[in-house]
Order: sequence, then structure tokens, then C-alpha cells
Amino acid sequence: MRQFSAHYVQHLFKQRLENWIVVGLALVWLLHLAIYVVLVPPWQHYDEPTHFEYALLIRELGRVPTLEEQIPELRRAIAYSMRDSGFYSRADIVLPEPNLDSGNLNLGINERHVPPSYYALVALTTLPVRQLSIETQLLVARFTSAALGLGFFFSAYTFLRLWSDDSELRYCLLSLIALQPALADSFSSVNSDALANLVALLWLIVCSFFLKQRSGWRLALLLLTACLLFAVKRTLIPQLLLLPITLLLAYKPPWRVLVSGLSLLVALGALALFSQPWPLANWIGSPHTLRTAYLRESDGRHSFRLAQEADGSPMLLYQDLPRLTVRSISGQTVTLAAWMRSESGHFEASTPILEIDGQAHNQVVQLDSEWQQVVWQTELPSDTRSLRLLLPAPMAPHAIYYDSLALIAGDPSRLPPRDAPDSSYPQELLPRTGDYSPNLLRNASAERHAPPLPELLASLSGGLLDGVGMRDALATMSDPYWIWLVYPRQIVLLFMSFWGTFGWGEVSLPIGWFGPLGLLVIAALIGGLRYTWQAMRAGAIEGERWKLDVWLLCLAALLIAWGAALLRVHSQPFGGAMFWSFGRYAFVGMLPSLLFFLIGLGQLAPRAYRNSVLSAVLAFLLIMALFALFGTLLPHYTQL
Amino acid sequence: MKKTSKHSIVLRPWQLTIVLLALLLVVTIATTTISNAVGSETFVQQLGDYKTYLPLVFQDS
Repeated sequence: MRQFSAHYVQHLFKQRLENWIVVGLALVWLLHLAIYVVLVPPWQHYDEPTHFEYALLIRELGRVPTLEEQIPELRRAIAYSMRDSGFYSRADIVLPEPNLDSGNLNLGINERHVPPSYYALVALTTLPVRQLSIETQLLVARFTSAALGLGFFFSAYTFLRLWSDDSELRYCLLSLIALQPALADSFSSVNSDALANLVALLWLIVCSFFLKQRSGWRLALLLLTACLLFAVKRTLIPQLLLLPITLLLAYKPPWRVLVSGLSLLVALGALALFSQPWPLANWIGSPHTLRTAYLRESDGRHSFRLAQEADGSPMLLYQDLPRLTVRSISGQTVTLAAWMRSESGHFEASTPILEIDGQAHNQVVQLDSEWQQVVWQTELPSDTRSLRLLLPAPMAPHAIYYDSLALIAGDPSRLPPRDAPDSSYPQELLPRTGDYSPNLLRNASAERHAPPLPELLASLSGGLLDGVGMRDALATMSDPYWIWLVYPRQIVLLFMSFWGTFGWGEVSLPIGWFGPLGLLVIAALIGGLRYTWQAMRAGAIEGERWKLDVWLLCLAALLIAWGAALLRVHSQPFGGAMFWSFGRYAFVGMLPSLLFFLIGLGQLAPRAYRNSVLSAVLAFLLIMALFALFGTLLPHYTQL
Repeated sequence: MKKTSKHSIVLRPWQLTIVLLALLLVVTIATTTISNAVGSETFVQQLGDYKTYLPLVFQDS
């Protein structure tokens, strides 16, 4: 009895100590968040003005606004606040001063495509302060995100209590969360990411809960939470893959059958993909034209061949130049060049047509079956808003071949060589040369094609998947040269911005901090893989099979989050400017990432020194978090 | 520091923590120095290429 009591008292003491430590760490996290909420000037977070406007529109209208709906007074109030807080007069970047009375006043990227859950919450919390200044309302909205951040912290603790008996591991992981600077920045901004990151963690907990013990109501909870993912943010949708993985881990089908089934599916998918022609990338035209308007000639060169459609109408291909490109060359002389020939015989044909604000500009040329380069120049008005390049087919029965199209700003002496890369490739990553101007056309030589989308999938998506943006993304995904140029830099950027990028992506910790972080991450990767290998060989973690399943689930969540963040670089919303992916897109996998980091490092250290190693890492992260606040952000925002 | 034999010195846990922390900070300073020397600070400044897309985001539609 006495022995039991002593054990009980010890257990009680340990529990109470743990409670105090967790509350203490929660206070550190809350303080970290509060400093970011107050320190960062208004509107200095990714898309904060439009996220905030969305929430206030819900509050004022009492319903979800339509895509373009606005309350002009509210929009002007936000714009005035942006101007008064120095948003448009930043020292580091020239932003166009807006016309505050314009009917087209723009606060940034429209966020109305995001489900309204987070915004409805902010609408509620800002209701009591709706009569106060817009900045005060923004502060309340930011504190709403911080409250979600606190929810994230305690959800992480719930997961750790469920999964691990190791209290020191729990303290270390909670400390990592409390000290993560970029996470604090994210949870202190008005952005639906705050709710998305919390819901992603809750989703992982529900999946783990089901893996621990299967039951009917736990399965119902699992399916209900899966529906919740759709109601919060699209970035959560890839995490839905955890559902089949959880079910597979829980019900353990015969692995041989599963592997054979998956291999068959992959083989069938690959067969379907390669057995049909890939359409041309970056051009717009009828599906038939996109499939047939290119030709591989006997010398291996690709070219466009335009003739007549099956119904006798002439084929047509065109592409619109990105808005940014048009703006950068308006008012200049542009040179258009193309290599052209007829399929057979002589005839008179049109050069490619340049449509400037809807007005066609072209010339007439005599073609024969020998390749000839056609070059002509035109002046663009200074207020040019749109540029479209069209490749017309000749009248029946003729056919024209085009190759190596080029559109450059400047005179013909600056024309690129016949097979120089076009602007689909990030200019800053290509070998620099002063000899010629960049070709502003995309896929100028008919060499790039996009994998075909199954028609059923395209029609089910209601036009979302077969749009121009999706075809461009598929084209870059299947282009090894593009991937070779972009991925190395993108991976470094993802790593850096996961730990220490702030504001609109323009403020970053100095590069020196990423050296030791990189070494730690490499060590953690090695240790984490070793831990996984050992756990799989043992068939259990801490003696329990379901804990191994949860660990595998965490690995899947981590891979999905980072994979989705990496693949995001294929989606380019601003044609003409490279838009990189940021580490914040991987925050939906924050807990699995930090858990892997911690366990991996702990695994590499000798058992007796594990705590010493982890303490050193935590102390380093504490110094880094303080430097981020007082050595990076404070000086940056003081300069603005 | 604790001497276990004539030739080996074993660090106490807290001493190891300090040594490792110092090592991490030294690597931080070394990376900063090297990056300044080779000019890779511009790489950080280009992060996100925000200078290109931000004006576009705020352009009146």
C-alpha cells in the first residue's frame, strides 16, 4: 500500500511538473506570437489587406461575398491605412501609388476563392470592435490567428501525449514550436493559413486516434474531419491522401496484393499517358490543332505545321503575352521573327499576326518550300494593354511550316539564335549573355508538349484542370530542362523560407543562419531514416505496433506537405515573372517535420548525450529566434 | 571536465551542450563570412522575387 502510494505521489508530481512545463512553454509561444502581432506594421504580411477585407465583408454583409463584390468605403479605409502606414512608400521596393478614389482600387490578390471558415471566425471576433479604427480591427484579427496558434500548440501536445511516453521528447518538440520564427510570423498574420495549419494537425491527430484503436465512431470522426479539410483551404486537399494511407495501415491488406495492384495501376496510367499524342504546350487552339500542329522532321527538328481542320476551316494557334511582359515593353519598338516555308509550291501568305489591343498587324510574304526567315518591326503604343500572337493557316489546299518564332524588344540585331530558350525558362537561371535580347514568346519552336489530361477528369473538374494554367503546369512538370534549372534553387528557397522568411517574402534571416541549420537538417534526415529502419525491423515503437503506424503516417504527411510545396512552383500566376514557392506552404506538415527533425537528431547522438545535443540545438534556435526579432525584423521595419 | 583515464577526457552533459552551441554559432559566423565574400547575400535578397511581382499585385485592375 505504502509502495503504491509512493508510486502514485511520484506519478502525480511528474504530471504536475509536466503541466507546469507545458504551460510555461505555451506562455513563451504566446509571447513570441504577441511580439510578432505588435511588432510587424499593419499590412506587412502576405496578402493581409485582401484576407482582412474578405473577413470584414462577411461581417458587414452578413453573408459570404461574391468574387468581385466590395464595399467601396471599406476598401478605401484599408487603402488609406496602407498609405498612412507607409505601405506604398517602402524603401526597398517601388510600389505604384494607388488612386484612392478609383473604382478599380486594388488591394492585392483576391482571396475569395478560399472557403470562408477562417474569415467568418475573424468576422465574429472583430464584431465588438467594428466602430474602432481599421488598424485596431486588424490587430484583433491578428490576435485571432494567434489564438489559433495557441490551439496549434495544445493540439501538438495532445498528439505527443497520444503517441509518445517520452516526456523529454514532448518538451523538446513544444520548445521547437515555441521558437520557430517563421511559424510565429505566420500565426500572427491575418491569413487563412492559420486555420489551415491547425486543421492539418487535427487531421493528423484524428488519423492517429483511429490507428490506435479502430471503432465505428472513430471512423465516422475520420470521415467527418476529411470533409472539414475542404471547408478550410485548398492547400489541405493533398493531405486527404492520409485517409487511404490510414485505412491501409489500419486494416493491413496483404502487401503483395496491394503492391501488385498499385503497380498495375501505375503501368496502366503510364500506358494511357504515352499511347496518345501530347498536345502542344503554351499555345491556345482547338484540341485537334494542339494535337496535330507540330511535326518532327527528318533532321530531328520540330516545327509547326498549320493547314486545315477536318471540317475544312483553317487551323489557328495563338498565345497571349503576360501582362507584366506587355507592360515592360509598351512604348518600345518590337521585332517579330519567324522561320517559314510552304509544304509545296509557291504562294502568298501572312506572317504571324501581332494583335496590339485587338488590332491586327502583319505582313504578306512569298513562300516556297525552302526555309526563310521573315523579320519585321513595329512600334507599340505606350499604353498597350494586351498583345496576342497568332499563327494563321493558309487557305486550302496549302500548308505552312513555322519554326523558331521570336518576339523581342529592340532591333533585329538583338534577335536570339534559332534554338535559344524562350521566356518559359527563368531568365535569371539561364546563362547570361549580352549578345541578344530574351525571346518573349513561349514554346517558340514546337518542342514542348504537355501530357494529355484524361477527358473524363477534365470534364469532371468543370474546366479547372484543362485551363491554360494547368496545361502550362503540366508542360513544365514534364520538361526535364525546366526542372533541372528550377528545382535546385527552389529546394534551397523552401528550406530557408520554412525557417526564416517574413513579411511579404522580402525579409529573411541573414544567410549565415542557414549554414548550421542545413547541417542539422542533413543530420536529422540521416538519423530519422535510421530510426524508421530500426522501428520497421522491430515492428513496433515503444513496444507498440500502432505507434509505428502513426510514425509512418507522419512520414507520409511530411512527404505530402513538402511535395505539394515543391510542385507548387509549376503553378505560375504571374506570367513573365518567376513566382517561387515558399516554405509556408509546407506548414501543414509542420508537426511531422519538427518531429522528424527532433527524433532524427536524437537518434544520431549517443544515448547518454541525447539531451545535451538537443539542448544545444534548442539554445541555438532560441538565439536565432531572438536574432530574427531584434536583429532582422526590428531594423527592417524601423527603416520603412 | 572529468578525467576517466590517462588519455581520455569525458565532457559532462552541460559542457557538451556549450561546446555544441559554440560550434553551431561558429558555423553561423563562418557561413556569413563566406557568403559575404562570394556575394551570395543577393541570393537571399532575391528570395521570392517579390520586387517583380509585388508591383503587379498592387496594380489597379
